[in-house]
Amino acid sequence: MTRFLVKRLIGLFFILLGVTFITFILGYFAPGDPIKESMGDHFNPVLWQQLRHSYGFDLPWYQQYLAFLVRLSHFDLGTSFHPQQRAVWDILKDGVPISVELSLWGTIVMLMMGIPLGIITALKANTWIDTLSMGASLILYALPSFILAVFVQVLVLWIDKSGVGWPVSGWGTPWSYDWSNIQYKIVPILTYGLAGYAYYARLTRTTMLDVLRQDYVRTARAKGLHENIVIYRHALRNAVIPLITAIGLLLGLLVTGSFFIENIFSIPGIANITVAAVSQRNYPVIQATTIMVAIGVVVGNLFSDVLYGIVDPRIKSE
Amino acid sequence: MGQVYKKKELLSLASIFCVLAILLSACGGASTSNGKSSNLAPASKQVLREPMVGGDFDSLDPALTASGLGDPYNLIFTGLVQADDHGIIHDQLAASHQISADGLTYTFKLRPGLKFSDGSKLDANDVAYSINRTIDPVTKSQVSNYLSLIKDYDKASAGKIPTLIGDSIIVKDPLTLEIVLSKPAAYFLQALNYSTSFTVNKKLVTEYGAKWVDHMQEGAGAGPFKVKSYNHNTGLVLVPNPNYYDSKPKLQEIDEIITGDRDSTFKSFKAGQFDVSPVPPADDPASENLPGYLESPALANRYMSLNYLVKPLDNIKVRQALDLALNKDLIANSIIGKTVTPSNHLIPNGIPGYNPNLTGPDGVKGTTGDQAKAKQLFQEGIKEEGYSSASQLPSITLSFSQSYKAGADTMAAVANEWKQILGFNVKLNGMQNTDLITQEFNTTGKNGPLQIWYGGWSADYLDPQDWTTLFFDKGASHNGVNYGQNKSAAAAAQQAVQVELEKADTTQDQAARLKLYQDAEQKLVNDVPFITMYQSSFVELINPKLQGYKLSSTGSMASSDWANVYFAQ
Repeated sequence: MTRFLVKRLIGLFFILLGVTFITFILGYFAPGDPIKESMGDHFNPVLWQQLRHSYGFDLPWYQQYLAFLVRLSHFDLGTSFHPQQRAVWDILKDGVPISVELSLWGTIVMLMMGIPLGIITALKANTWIDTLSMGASLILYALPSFILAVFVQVLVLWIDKSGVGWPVSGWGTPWSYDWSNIQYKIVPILTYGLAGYAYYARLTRTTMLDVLRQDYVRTARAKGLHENIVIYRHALRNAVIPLITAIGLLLGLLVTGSFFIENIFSIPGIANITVAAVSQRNYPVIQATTIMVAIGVVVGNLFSDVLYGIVDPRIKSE
Repeated sequence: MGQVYKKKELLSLASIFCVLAILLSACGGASTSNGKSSNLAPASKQVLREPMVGGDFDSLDPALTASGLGDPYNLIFTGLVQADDHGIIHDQLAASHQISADGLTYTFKLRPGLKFSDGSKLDANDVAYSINRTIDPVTKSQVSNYLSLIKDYDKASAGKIPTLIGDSIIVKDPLTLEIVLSKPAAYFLQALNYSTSFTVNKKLVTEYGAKWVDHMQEGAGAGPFKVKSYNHNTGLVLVPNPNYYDSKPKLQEIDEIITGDRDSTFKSFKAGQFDVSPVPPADDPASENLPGYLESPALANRYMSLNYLVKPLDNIKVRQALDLALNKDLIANSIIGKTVTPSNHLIPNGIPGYNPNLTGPDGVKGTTGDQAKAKQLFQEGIKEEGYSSASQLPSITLSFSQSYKAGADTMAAVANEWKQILGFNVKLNGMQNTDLITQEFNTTGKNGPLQIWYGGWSADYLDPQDWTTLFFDKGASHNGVNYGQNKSAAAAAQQAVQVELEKADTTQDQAARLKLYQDAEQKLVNDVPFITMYQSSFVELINPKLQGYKLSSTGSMASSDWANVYFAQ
C-alpha cells in the first residue's frame, strides 16, 4: 500500500509539473496580456511598457517560467491582476471554502437523492414508479444547470411575493448555519443537488439492475436470506463500485464544478472567480486554480482506488 | 387674576412647545428631493445597501483603481479639490488655491486641523506623499498617467528619478503645497479630482505594503465615511468618519455588497436585498413608471473612427455621407433599446461645455440622419476622388471588438445601411478588444492597419479636453484617425482647430475656454473624424424611502452630496 501511495505521489509531482508548464505556455503565447486587458480603452503604450517591465513580462518565456517555478516552490502563487495586487493565496483562501461548501453539500444532496432513487427504481424496474421517476430525472438531467438555477430563482421571487425577503443571491458567511445563513445557502445547494442527482440515480439503477441479475444474488435469495440483506449487503456493495469512480472524480470538480450555480446566485466562490479570470487573462489565478483542480483529480482518483480496496478486498489483492 | 395666570401659563407652555418644535426640526428635519419636509427614519434604519455589481473592487487603493471618479473612493478619501455633480471644481482639503501667471505652478493652502479617520493629523506632507506614491513605479499603478501633467512625471514613473517630492511636488510648509506642471493646462484641477491624487495614510501603506487595503479600518483616509470592515467576498461596510472636516452624513452605515451581474442584482433588489440597483435594459420598460426610477446620461460614447489617410475617407463629402446615411435612432433603439441616447456629440452630456445646440454634419439636426443628402454627398465625393461609382471603390474594412455583442450587432446594422443607402460595401472584421486598441495606436501616421473602427471612450475626468484635444491634437497618442496631419483638402482647417484646442487647454477663464471647445467641437463634427453613435446612460431603481440620492453622469454622487442622503420614515 505504501509503495502504491509513493508511486502515486511521484506521479502527482510530474502531473503538476506538466500542468504548470501547459498553463504557463498557453498563457504566454495567448494573444493580449493581463495588463492590456485591465487597461481596456484607456490603454497607454508608455505606461504599459513600464508595467510590463515591473512585472517581468518583458523577459524570455523560460526565465518567466523558471521564476514562476521558484515562486511556486516557496508556495508563492503570485499576485492577481483583478483585484489588482491581491495575493492569489488570499483569493483561494476566500473562494475555495465557499465553493467546497456549496459543492460538498450539493453533492451530499445529489447522492442522498440519486442513490436511493436508483435503488428503488431498480427494484421497481418497469413499473410506473420507475417510469415516472426516471422520466423526471431525465428531464432534470437534460436541463442545463443555468436554466434550472434561473428557474429556481424566479420561483423563489414568485413565492416570496409577500416580501419575506428571501435572498436570491450571495452566500452569507461560509460554514455558518444560523437561520440567515441557511436562507442564503439552501436554495443554491438544493439546485446543485437537483441539477446533478439524475446522473447518480441512473447510474445506480443500471448497475443495480446488472448486479440483481447475477447468479450470486439469485443464490442469496435461494438460500432464503432476507431481501434487505440481499439488496444492501450483496447487491448494493457490488453495484457501488462504478459509483465510487464517479464520486472520486467529483472530488476534482469540488472546487470548480459549480460555476453556473455560483454565477447565477452571485456566490463568490472560486469557480466564478476562475471563469472571470479567464476572460480577464488573469494568469496567476488561472494557473493556481488549474494546479488545484489537477491535485483534486489525482487525489480523487487515489481516493477511489483506496475505496475500491475497502469495498471489494479482491481488488486490493490484485 | 387666575384667568390671567392661566393664560400666561398656556402662553409659556405654547412657547416651550414652539422652541421644542424648532429644536427638533433643526436636529432631525431634512428636505426631500421634491422640497417637502420629511421625517428622518430612526438611526438604526439609516443603512444604505448598495450592490457592487460584478464582484470585488478592482482595488480599494485610490492609486490603482480604474473607477476613481466616484464612490467608495470619494467616501473614504479626500483630495485637494473635488468636483460637484455638475463637474465644477471646488477646494476640498485645500482651503484655497492659486495658479501662477504662466499657468505652471499651482499653490494649495490646506485647511488647518485636518485629520485622518483614525484621528492622526493630515498635512501637506501626506498629500505630497500620496501623489508621489501613485507615480512611483513600485506602486504599479495603471492609472498614474492622470498625473502626467506634473513636471518630470515621465522620469519618475520610469524610475529614472527616485521621487518628485522637492522637485515638482514641493511642501512649502505643513499647510502649503506647490505643484509644478510640465505645460500649462487648465484641466489640471479636473485631473486632480480623480482618485490617483487622493490622500492616503502613509502609516498603513508603510506597515502593510500591498495588503494595506485589508487594513483600511485602521484609518485609511479622511473622507466623510470611514471603513468599518472590508471582506473581498461580502463587500465593504462604511460608517461616518467623526474626524471629517465638513458636514457629517445622516446615513449611519453604507454597505457596498458584492454581487453578481446586473440581472441577478436586479432580482435581489426586488427581493429587498438592496436599496439601489441598476436596471437591466430588458427590465427598463416595466420599471420606468415605478417610484424610485432614476436615469442619467453616462460619460461614455460609442463611435466609429475614420482614418484620414485611407482613400476615399479623406474626402469630407464621403465622410459626411457615411454619417448622414445612418438613422442612429433606429439602429440604437432596435439593438440596444431606450437606455442609450443616439448622439452626434464628441463632448457628451454631463461634461462642462456640452453643447445642446450642436448640429450634425452639414448642419443636419437630430440623429435620424438625412439619407437623401447622404446619397448626394457620397456621389459627389467619390467623383471628386476619381471614382465613377461605389463599386469602383477600394475595399474598406470596418473593425470592431468581438467581446461586445451589441457593438458587433450595431456594426452589422451600420454596414447594412451603408450598403442599402450608398451602395458602399465594407468588410466587417471582428477582433479581440486588446488587439483593436493596440492597432489603434499603430495606425497613428499610417493608412492602416485600421481604416474604420468602432470603439468607445469613458471619462477620465470631467473636462472637454478629455474628449477633444486627447483625440485630435497634433501628436496626441489617441489621434489614430490622423486628424490634422494628412493630405486631405481640409488638413489646413484641421490644423487651425488643433491650435484652437491647444488654446482652450491653457485658457484659465472657464467660460471662454468652454466656448473654444464648443466651437472646435462643431468644426470637428462637421469634418467627421468620428461618427458618434450614442451616449450611454445609467438607469437605476432606488428604494422610494431613500431621499437626497442623486444619480449623476459619473454613475456616482459628489462627495459633498452624501451629507444630504437619508431614509425617510
